[in-house]
Parts: sequence; structure tokens; C-alpha cells
Amino acid sequence: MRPSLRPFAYVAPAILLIAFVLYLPSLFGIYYSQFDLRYVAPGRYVGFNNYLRLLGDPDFLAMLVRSVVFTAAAVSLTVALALALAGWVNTLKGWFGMAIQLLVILPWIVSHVVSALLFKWVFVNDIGAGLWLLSQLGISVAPLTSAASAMAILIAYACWRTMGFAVVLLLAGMKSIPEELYEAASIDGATSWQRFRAITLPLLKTPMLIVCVILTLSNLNNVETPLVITGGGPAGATNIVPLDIFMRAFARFDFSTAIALAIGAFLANMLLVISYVRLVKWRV
Amino acid sequence: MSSPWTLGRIALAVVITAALLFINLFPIAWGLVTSLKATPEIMAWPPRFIDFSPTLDHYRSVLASMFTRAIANSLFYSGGVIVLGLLLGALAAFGFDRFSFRLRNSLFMLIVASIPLAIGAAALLVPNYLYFTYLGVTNQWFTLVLLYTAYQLPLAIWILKGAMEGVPRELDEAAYVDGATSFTVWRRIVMPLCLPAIGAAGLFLFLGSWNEFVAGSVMVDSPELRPVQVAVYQNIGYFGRDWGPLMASAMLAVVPILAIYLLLGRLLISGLTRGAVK
Repeated sequence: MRPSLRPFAYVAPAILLIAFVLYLPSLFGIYYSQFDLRYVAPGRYVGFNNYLRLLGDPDFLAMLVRSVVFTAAAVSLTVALALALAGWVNTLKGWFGMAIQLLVILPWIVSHVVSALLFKWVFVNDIGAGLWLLSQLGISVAPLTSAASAMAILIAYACWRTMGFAVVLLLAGMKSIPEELYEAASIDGATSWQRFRAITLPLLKTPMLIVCVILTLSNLNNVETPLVITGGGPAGATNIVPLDIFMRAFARFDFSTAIALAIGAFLANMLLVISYVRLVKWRV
Repeated sequence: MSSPWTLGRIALAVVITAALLFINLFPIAWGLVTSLKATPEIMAWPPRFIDFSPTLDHYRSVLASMFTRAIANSLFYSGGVIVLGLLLGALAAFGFDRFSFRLRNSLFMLIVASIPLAIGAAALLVPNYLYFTYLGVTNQWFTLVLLYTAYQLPLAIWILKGAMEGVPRELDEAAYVDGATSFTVWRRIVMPLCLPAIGAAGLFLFLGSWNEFVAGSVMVDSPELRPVQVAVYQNIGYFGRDWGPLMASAMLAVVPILAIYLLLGRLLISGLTRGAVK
């Protein structure tokens, strides 16, 4: 083996597998999306017609708006709450801080199907024990039957699922901020809110943006959330991009518009991926 | 930033901890309680928290079904993903860390980009299904092993590469002087010094493959190949509002995750933070 080829022997198997699963299918999909698909078999060439059919779908625009509302609400609510929680955990020392981190990360490491199922059984179902406990505290939660409350429950679930990840990442960012900055500010008489505004927030910008990118990707691509919690209902009120792709392809077998929407989602994902690559301080 | 424990801070800590216990721990605990109750007790209103007679009936009926096969399948898939992922990941990390070559930067950027891209399950699903169907590689015993390995591999490479940066190159050079090949250096010197990172990478390879649902639900369709999360989901349709067996299957699907969580929680937290602050 020539010395210059040796490094490729080490990296090639991994690169080839990743390309084969993560990149080639989408390139293939861009080509395939220009054919009329009968189930999965390509029929005649139709150019951009599948995309036009998708855009002409009467519910399509509303579905996109709904997805943006869902994602924006879930991500901003999660990041705001996680920021407050991480700020609090950062003041804790030793095992207690670690215990809280482990507690918040729990819904993130359990599978999407199981966590959605548990959330539904405890907090959404009409005989949910969590709902009963909340009602004892005088808190009543709206049921799934109205469009607005179904969307609110979906957003609440997404926050619950992703909160731990955001807390752990933001906390790691906070811990990397030098203690001296806070000490200097305290000596100058800054209040804790002023220290947070002038030191923590600006120095936390990169981890916060990374969290936003990852959570946006996760929420825009999570099929299980709408599938298990609401099934897209009532009357399509919680039908969002990931569920729409899944249902077009595997419930209605309309692969022509499913692939068009999937390619659109892939391109949107690539924009988020590019911003991730720019944000993360990577080097070989 | 440690300040003294004033009464106000203690009250705040108690309230937040109680809220987190209720929101995050209670659902799992309640799922366990539900799975141990007879059906009439499950449907009781207000819910019965302690005064019920535990039964393993739901577990017996779930374990007597194809669900057992699904657990075995997922153990096989996860095992295959851990072996293949660690092997390919450690080789690639070594290649990127120890050699300089043309395209090294671009290829490593591709790896970094693939970490978030692999989260994009919904966008990848249909193209993957069409491409794999075209190639005729859906519904095989290796289909999900290949997919899950590719999803988790970028993160594994990233974690392993970070650890290899910390292994002094003087060790390699001494071995090369003694006539060792690069493969020997990888196997005898670098790998043994990266054991904690190998553990962390293995942990994420396992979590990702055990927990995956969407690809598992469409890329294989024989019941003999069904992974555990798909079996849990199908139980939702099968048992409907019969929450006992449904919760029993959810609990069985969560056992390995909770075991890892209790044993390796710290490793998990430190692995998660790598992408953000490194």
C-alpha cells in the first residue's frame, strides 16, 4: 500500500457507509422526485409536477404555517425555561447539581414512542394520574378535543422531551465562563440580573444557537410526537411536516408528493446543518 | 458561584426539585404502577396510588406474544451497531487524528455535518425507503444495522477523535521506531488509552439503535425482523385503551435504557456536552 493511501483505508469504510445512508438516498430522491411514482415504482417523467402538486394541495400552506408555529413555540419556550433552569443548577455544588441534570435528561434518553406514550397516559388521557394530581392543586388542563389545546399539548410535550438536552448543553456553556468575570462584576456592584445580562447571555450565545439548531431539527423531524400524542388531529389541526411526510408515504402511499416534501425538508435540514457546522468549533 | 443556603434558596430548591420529580420521574413510575395493576384498578377514578394488589399478568401476556421476539431483535440490532460502529468509528477517528492527507478537512467536515443531519429522520425516511427498495435491501436482517450504524457513526467518530487527540504522539513514534505498523499502533497503543471514550461512543450507539422507531417501522416489515419500539407502537393499535399490557410493553422497552442511565448517567451527560462546548 502506498503511504498516501493508508489514511483513506482508515476513514473510507465510515465515510462510505455514511454517504450510502445519509447522502446518496437524497440525491437519488431528487432524481426520483421527477417521476410519477406508482407506489414506489417510477412511471413517466413529470419534471417538477410532484412539487407543484404538493404546493397545490389545499392544506399545504396551513400545514407549513402550523409546523413553523409548533417549532418556533417549542424551541423558544424550551430554551427560555432551560436557560432559567441551567442558571439555577449552575449555583448548585456537587452531587445535587448532577442529580438535577440526570432528572431533567430522563425524557430525552427514553425512546420517542415510550416517552410520548407515558406523557399521554399521565398528562393527556382523561383518566391520567398526572391530570388528577394537577386538579388537586387547582390546575386544570384543556383536553385534546379543540385545535388550539391539541397544539398546546403537542408543544408542551416537545418542551418536556427536549428540555433536558437544552439544560445540559447550556449548563456546560455556563460552566466554561470564567468565574473571575462574575467576581469583577460583583466588586463593581452589579446585581445578579445585570451579571446575567452582561456576562452570561453574550458568552452563552454559541451554545444557545447550537441548542436552537439541534432542537429545531429535532422538532421538525420528529414523527413520533404528532403520531403518538395527537395522531395529527383533531381534523388535521396538529398535522405537521414530519407526520405529513410519514402519512403521505406510508398511510396513503402517495410517494410522489411524499418524496417532494421530503426533499424540501432535506434542503431545510441542510441549512440548519450548515449553521451547525459554522457554530461548532471543529478542527481536524 | 456558590452562595450560602438561605431560607429562600432552600425553598426554591425544594419547589423546583418537587416539580421536576413530578414532571419527569412520575410518568415512568406511574407507567410501572399501571403495568402492575389489574385492568379494573387501572380504570379507577380517582387513580389509586398505593392501594392496589400488584399482578404480573400483563407482563405474562406481553412476553407470551411476538414482543419477546422484538426485544431479541433489538438486542441483536444494537449489538451489531455497537460492534460495527465502534470498529468503523475508531478506525476513522484514528485516520483523521493521526494522518494528514488530501481532503482530510472536507471529509471531517462531512462527519461533523452528519451529526445533526442524522437527526433529520423525517426528511431521510422516504428517500431511504425508495433507494433501499430500488437496491432490494429492505426487510433484511442487516438493513437496520446498516441504517442505525450510519445514523450514530458521526457522533461516535467525533467522540473518539476527541479522545485520541489526548493520546501523546510520542507513544506512536516510539512504536514506529520499533517497527510497528499503523494498525498495531491503533490496536495496541491508541485504543487501550481511549477506553472511556469507547464506552461513551458505545453508549450513544446503543441508545440510538435501541430507541429508533420510524426507520424500523418502514424499512423492515416481517414480524420476525420487527424492532422493539415498533412493537410498542403496534401495541397501541392492538390494545387500544387497554393500558395494562401497553404499559407493560413500554416498561420492558425502557428497562435497558434505565439500567444504562442508572449505571452510566455521568458518562451520558459528559458525552452530550461534547458537541456544544468543545
